[in-house]
Amino acid sequence: MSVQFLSGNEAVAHGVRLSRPRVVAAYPITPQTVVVERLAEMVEDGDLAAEFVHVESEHSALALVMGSAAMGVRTFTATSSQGLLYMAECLYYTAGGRWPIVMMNANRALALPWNIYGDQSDSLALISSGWIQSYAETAQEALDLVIQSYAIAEDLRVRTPVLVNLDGFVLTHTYEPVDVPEQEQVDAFLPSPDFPVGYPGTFNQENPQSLAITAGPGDYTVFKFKQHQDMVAAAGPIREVDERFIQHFGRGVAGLTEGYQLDDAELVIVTLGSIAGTVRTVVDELRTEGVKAGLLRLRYLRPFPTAEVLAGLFGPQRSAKVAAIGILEKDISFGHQGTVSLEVKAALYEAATQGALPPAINFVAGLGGQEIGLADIRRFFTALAEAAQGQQKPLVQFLGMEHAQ
Amino acid sequence: MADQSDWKVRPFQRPKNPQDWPLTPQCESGYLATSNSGWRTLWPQILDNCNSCGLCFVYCPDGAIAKGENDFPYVLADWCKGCGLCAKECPKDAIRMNEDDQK
Repeated sequence: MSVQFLSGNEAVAHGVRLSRPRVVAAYPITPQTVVVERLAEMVEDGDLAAEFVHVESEHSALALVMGSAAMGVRTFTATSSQGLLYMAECLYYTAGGRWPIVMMNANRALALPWNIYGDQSDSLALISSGWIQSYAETAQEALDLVIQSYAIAEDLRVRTPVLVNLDGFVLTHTYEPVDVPEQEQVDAFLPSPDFPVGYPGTFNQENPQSLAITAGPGDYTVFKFKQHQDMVAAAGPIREVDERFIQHFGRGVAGLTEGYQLDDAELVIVTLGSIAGTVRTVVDELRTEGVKAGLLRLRYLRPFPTAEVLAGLFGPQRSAKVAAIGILEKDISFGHQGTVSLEVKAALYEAATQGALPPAINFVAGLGGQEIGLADIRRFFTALAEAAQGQQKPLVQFLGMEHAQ
Repeated sequence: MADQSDWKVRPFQRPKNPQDWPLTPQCESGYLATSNSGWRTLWPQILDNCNSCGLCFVYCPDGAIAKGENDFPYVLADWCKGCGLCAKECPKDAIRMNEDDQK
């Protein structure tokens, strides 16, 4: 392990180099460009044995690594802002195909007005795309998240692509001392970058497969149900990888959230990304003034860590009651609230229903043209009546999957 | 000429438990998991005045027409969607669109 003075982008590039992807394809865009430049140099210098493919667009970049992953190898791409939105079609495609791609996104504002500076509207616009989403606070965490993301994405229980987010400029372009692990350490932590024969979603000449097939109404729902179920369950493997990483490298955070001065905090700010560092500083200042301030940082937004958020705010370890909660994000969902606020408040409703508010159940139906009949609507009302009488019901219910949830 | 028996649908046996479903939308190549022709209402009947010119084979947008003995065309029930393009293009009016009796 060596300490190097690196920007967030350079830390990501080193994390990728150490993870040994076989194929890298990316289209440069501010403020992600340095990642692509460093990786191109690493391939040129022989430090990374990968095919580096120059593509004509972000859409092509993700499509290309998707095809490479289908051939059974580890891949990497990176983008930002308009580029991420241009990729949008391929994001849903890769998530539905369950290819374990890792992508770095430099969080940047969306046009118009044209703006190249940092905010989180880009990745939050695609929060429903089926990708795991993590948000780094520091360059060190960015490097570590890249390595961890491959372990998470390629886990057969997860098999879901991961988007690692860094705040544009504030994190991508600022420098800090970063522990860069040795290659042998990372090799011992990650599986081979060549997937085993017969790995789901892959094919070769000896094992011809129809990939990315059609599924009609009904069948489509099962694939989407599995995608959702595996994403929810991914919280387990994410925690396992975090704990293994701490043991292996001697640093890191275990869990999808991180608290700072949280257990006795009366005023809590919930946030994500690099601004959490600034919040820590203000929490320290307020504490010296006698204000019980605290921070709850969301490391992952997908899967959403509902249980961890509720435990952090209302768990038995708390020594004081939370008096007010603020949600700080670089995003607005026009006409309502910021996306993270909507996410956190949906989780809070689960805590609220233990008191004055009625249970609220999400019926997911009609996916891929699935028919919703009168009898189904009647069953929804029956479920509501049972929930109203105090029966515990799953809060998200897929039509047609009642036997499985 | 390929063996027509290879071109059938091999129905997908749906497991009860979603965990037993394939993780990714994929299957062994070379067959359909479900019939592609469920919405067909018309079915092309190839008449005796066909001279096996092969135009219907070329024009069929779904590759649902195959060449049989002496290149005489025949229609594959699992792929034909009943669009009638073959009947429209046939220069001999040797294809007649009938009510579908193949289901």
